[in-house]
Amino acid sequence: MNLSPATTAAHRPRGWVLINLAGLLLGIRQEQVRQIIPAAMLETAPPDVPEAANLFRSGECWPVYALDRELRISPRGGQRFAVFLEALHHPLGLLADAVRILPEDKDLRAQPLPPCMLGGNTPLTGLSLLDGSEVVLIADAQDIACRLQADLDREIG
Amino acid sequence: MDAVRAWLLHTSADFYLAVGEPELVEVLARPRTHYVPGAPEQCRQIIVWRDRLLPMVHPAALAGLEGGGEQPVFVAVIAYQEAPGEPLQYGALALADAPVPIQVNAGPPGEPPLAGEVWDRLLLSCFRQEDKSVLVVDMELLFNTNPADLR
Repeated sequence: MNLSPATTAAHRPRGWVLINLAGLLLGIRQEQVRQIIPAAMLETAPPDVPEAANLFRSGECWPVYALDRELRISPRGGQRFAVFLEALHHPLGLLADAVRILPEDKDLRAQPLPPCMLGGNTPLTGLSLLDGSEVVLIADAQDIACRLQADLDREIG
Repeated sequence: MDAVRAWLLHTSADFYLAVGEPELVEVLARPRTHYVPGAPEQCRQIIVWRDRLLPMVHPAALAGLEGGGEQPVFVAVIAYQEAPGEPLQYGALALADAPVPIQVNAGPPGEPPLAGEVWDRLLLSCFRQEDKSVLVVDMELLFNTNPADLR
């Protein structure tokens, strides 16, 4: 599923991508998602590198990471999908247990994190209630990429 | 001397709070909680209550004490206001036991069992109840302030 044709303001993809990973339900704007593919299409990475897998595409290698519930890099499990986020230099893949698309911006009513939940180190920008019982954690692709990069820098450093 | 009706909240281990009777809106038994990664230790979970998302605070964790685990036995829904006349807002407190109704006699405040800048700002009062130190906390400040700003 390619979510990113040539993007103009008029054709900006609307809506949200909901990503189930590590028991969390992340909500990311569709315009920040490049592509969603089955995990079976990935090449498993060697065990001595932080990424769980790679997708080779048009001469490029897009890394794919498995995350734990702290959104830190973790070992790969049985995730079924890879979601590629728009990041600074190349798309950044996250392994997901399940993925859903909400077609309209208004399908999620994002509210800011409560003040008492600030001050930590969260890449989340808000929360939303879905269908009266599901809690969606609204995240920004660049913030997730920055957090992963910081993790990788720590690992190398 | 006038007595005030209140609820004694056993939050964890030996950490007790009290809220005025009208502040406690509802008590939920083992509600489903939702983890929020990267949030401060004392408030890493959300509960859904009446179509609202409420932050759930473990007050003992603010005091550096064991906060009581991620799946509390009870959760107290607390109402608070930024100022008189302002709309009610709601937050949740993780409890280790069901709230107990108490009568609190007005009098000079006791000596708080805790020291620290956080409590200098949060603490409204303190009293003894059956040999327990019980804290009265500014709930508006607890729920509506970035914890980094409390220090």
